[in-house]
Amino acid sequence: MLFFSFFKTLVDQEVTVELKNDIEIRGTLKTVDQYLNLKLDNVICLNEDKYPHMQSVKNLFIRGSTVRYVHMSSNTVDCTLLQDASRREAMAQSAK
Amino acid sequence: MSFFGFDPSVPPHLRQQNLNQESYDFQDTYDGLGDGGADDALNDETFGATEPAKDFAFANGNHSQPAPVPSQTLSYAQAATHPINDDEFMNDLWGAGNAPATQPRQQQPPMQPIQQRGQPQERTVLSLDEIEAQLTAIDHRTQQPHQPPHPYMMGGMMPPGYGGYMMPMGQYMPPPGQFGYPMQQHIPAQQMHQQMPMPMQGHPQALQTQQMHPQMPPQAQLQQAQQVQQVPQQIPPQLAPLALAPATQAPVPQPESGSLAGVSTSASASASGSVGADVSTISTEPKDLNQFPLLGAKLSSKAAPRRLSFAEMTPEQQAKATKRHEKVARIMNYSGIMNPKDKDFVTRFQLSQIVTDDPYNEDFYAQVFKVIHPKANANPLQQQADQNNSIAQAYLDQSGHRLGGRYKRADVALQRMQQQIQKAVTVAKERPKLTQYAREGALGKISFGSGKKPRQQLEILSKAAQREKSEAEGGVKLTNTQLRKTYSHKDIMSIIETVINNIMTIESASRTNPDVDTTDLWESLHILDHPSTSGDEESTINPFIQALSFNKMLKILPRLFKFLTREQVLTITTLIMSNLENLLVIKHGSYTTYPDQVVPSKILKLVEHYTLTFSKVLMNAVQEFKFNEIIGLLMILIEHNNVSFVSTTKIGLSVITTLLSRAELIKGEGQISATDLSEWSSCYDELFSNLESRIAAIFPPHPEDVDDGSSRENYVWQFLATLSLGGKLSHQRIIVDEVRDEIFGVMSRAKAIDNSDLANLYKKQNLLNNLNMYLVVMGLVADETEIKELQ
Amino acid sequence: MAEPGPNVEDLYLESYAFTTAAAIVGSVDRKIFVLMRDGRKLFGILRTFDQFANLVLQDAVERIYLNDENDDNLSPQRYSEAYRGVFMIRGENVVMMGELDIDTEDDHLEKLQKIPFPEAETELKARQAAKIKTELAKSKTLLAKGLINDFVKSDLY
Repeated sequence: MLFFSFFKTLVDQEVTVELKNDIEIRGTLKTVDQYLNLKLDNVICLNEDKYPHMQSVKNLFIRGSTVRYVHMSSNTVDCTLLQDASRREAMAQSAK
Repeated sequence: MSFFGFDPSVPPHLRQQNLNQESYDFQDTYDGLGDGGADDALNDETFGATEPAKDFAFANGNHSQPAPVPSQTLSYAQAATHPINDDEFMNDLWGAGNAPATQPRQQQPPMQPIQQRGQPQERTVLSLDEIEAQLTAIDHRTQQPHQPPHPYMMGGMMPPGYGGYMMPMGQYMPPPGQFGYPMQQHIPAQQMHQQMPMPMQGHPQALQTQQMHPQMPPQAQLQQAQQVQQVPQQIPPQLAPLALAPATQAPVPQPESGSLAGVSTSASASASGSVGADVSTISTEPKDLNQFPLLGAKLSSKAAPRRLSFAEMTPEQQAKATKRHEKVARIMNYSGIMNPKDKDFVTRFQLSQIVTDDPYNEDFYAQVFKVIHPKANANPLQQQADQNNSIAQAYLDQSGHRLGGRYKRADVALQRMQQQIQKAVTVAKERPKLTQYAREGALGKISFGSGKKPRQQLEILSKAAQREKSEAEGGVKLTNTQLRKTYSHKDIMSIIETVINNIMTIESASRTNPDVDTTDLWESLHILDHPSTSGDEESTINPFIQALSFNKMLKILPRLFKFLTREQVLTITTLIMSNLENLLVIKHGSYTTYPDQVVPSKILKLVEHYTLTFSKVLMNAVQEFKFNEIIGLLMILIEHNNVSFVSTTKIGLSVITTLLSRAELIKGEGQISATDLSEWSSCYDELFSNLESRIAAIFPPHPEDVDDGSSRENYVWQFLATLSLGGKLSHQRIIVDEVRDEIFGVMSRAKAIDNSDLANLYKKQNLLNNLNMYLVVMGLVADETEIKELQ
Repeated sequence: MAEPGPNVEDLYLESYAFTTAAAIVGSVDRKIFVLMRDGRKLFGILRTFDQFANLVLQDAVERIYLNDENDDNLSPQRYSEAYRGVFMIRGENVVMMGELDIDTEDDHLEKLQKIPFPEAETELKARQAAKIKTELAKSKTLLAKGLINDFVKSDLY
């Protein structure tokens, strides 16, 4: 649940999602669910030439498993807290 | 593999049984479909041809009054345990047209459609003014009769909030004159309402709709036709002129459903902004009014200019508008197939999957992040309220329960959601923990992972951790055979990790109970099980000291010391004092060991981290120490380290300063015994003799560029001040003698900065401030040209 | 540090916004675009969905975009459409879906040449088969070096 929790804090931030098929989409993260499916608003496809139909797409629900990278601004991340949270996660996992 | 990790708690046959149980489960609260298996009438709901409710009335006439809304006085818990309330809420929120299928069926005899046509005549006719007066007096009881027969919901075809398909201003496509007779715009609403159904019967538009959807089953087509007939009845009086009046102006043939869409479109035009998934938006008042179709005055005035502009359109624009119109019509047709109950069901299902035993810990990052980085809103209570309101609003928006978006609505929605969540939580808790393979209801390949516990792709076994474990098991033997235990880098890392884990465990335990057991934490520090002193071989140094070379250990120090007792802190400090030279920042932190007299940047970075963490922690710790303990620490420092070397490092010098200044502070309090004082003076003498003749060396080389004098040498002057403060006059003379060059060096550097150079004037001030911090101890003060006695 | 709240339900209340349903529900009864794992692009009206994000589209149209050079990185010159009617999509096959602006959705088509669907389909199939072939060959070469090519035959989006 660590990354679910992490992405929750990115809601309303602008992110760029790079899919495994190289589509890059920038937009405002609106919601994320436990499968890390993402919902973006005000999307812009960064390679729109390739995908002309994306021009008229207003918002996008992206399936988590097709995402390669999510780019975000570094000041939206609390690294120390993330380290702590990762340790907790690891502890919880090893305790199971 | 199921996309969303379907994890149904109850097998289908059990679900059926559950209907008869008292306790809640999904099906209990989902009577919209749960009992549908055997009932064909469900198709009505599915295909949107629901019969209009018989209490459809704009005037609050003699129709049956719906049950009063359970108000906010009812607690959530109470509400949750009242099965009947559930549907009342539904009525209230979503209108009778979308109430569970069971309810309309109970209320309405099978002959309903026929009765329906006759019904308008039975109603008390109210004037527009009266209606508006009723509407503006908003209160649950008066509101309710108007809300349930929401015109967009009634046919099961038009959910409110069609923001996405608005007619652009000026392109409004006037609905055609499908009613066959001219209408005047200000025809009394009720009158029109009664007239409307008549010309509608057998109207060819019904056929048109059928052609549009050839794939619909015959039954559905039939219902579709009925629906088309019924819908005009449901157009609220205030909207009807809108839909009909254009007949006089632009008799363009159009499919009828299109005209309906047009009405609905304009009705919710201003709502477009908020329809999306925008959680944070709370409806504003003007928008609400327009969503509230009965307050129609505003609408008609808005619609008028659009209607006019259509005549002015170019044929191209008209073609475009026609095309758009058709699209909207297709979207409108069948909309609402997924009704709010369905939406609730899916949502609740997913909520129940998120339910865990320990929600705060599993959501650790987000929860703590929220506390550490609160949004601008200062008042937490207000924030909480806003948040709840916006969640409720989002819920209303997203699930199509848009009935005005008033704040009271939001309250009810919130209440309702809370109920749902309670149910979801209860169900999730009662759900037996199924194994992955037993996933009932899953089709095809079964997933080995889930959202909560993703499939593990890599398994990395920490060898250091393993060795640590095996050594712990055979630990006694090992220390006996080996004279000195050695630690590898990995060992140290694993020790640090254990410490951090222990701290986190203690932290979360201390949140509920301040008295936590810190034994494990203390043992994991390895303070006592391995003595070492400065100059030992690196791998045999006490692991705690070795760990202090790592940034992450330093970072955790403040959190660590919070949980240690005074004695434990003293023990650690003692260990540090005897191992000062083993600390990387001191071992490699002296400029004297480098040919170019420059400490490498890597070490400087570590020094920086030390000043932010270690030095602060030490300073806090020393506050608690008694006078003789300070003396003891200093003695250990002198005994185990080369003081003159340590003093050439920033951290070393500040450690000595910390101890000295604490001693001076206690002395200043004046309750020191004579023996302690004499012990102190011999300790001081010992320290001083170690420093003597090398005091000038504590100054790192001066940089070539303009010296800002601020932090670089600040600590040195601080040390000199403290040392002078503790010493006798003879000591002070020796110090002055040794640092004379530095004193004049500072003055000349200060002088070099021109007074007119305003940008660098602060540097001059810094330089002199540092110097004077020391000189003041001896009653002196310097400016850029001379040293005077302090007045 | 976060203090445990008085009511765990509040926490779940917050979680409402973080469900798949919350992400999709706003698109119901809207014209949407769906990209599927096999590369199909569908345009239609979302009528309903369930907790697996299985979707039901109405008036669905499948569209194929082709570019003349057979290079996926270039913009297409031709397109083709086929009416599919009511289309149910199993959730796991969805790559992404988004709401369309019905006013502009067809604008980009004006620049493209429309060709018959069977023709487009044949050409696309051939291209996909070729792609699978090269990718499988690549997988083999990489595997020989102990590397893995992250390619699945069914992923052609």
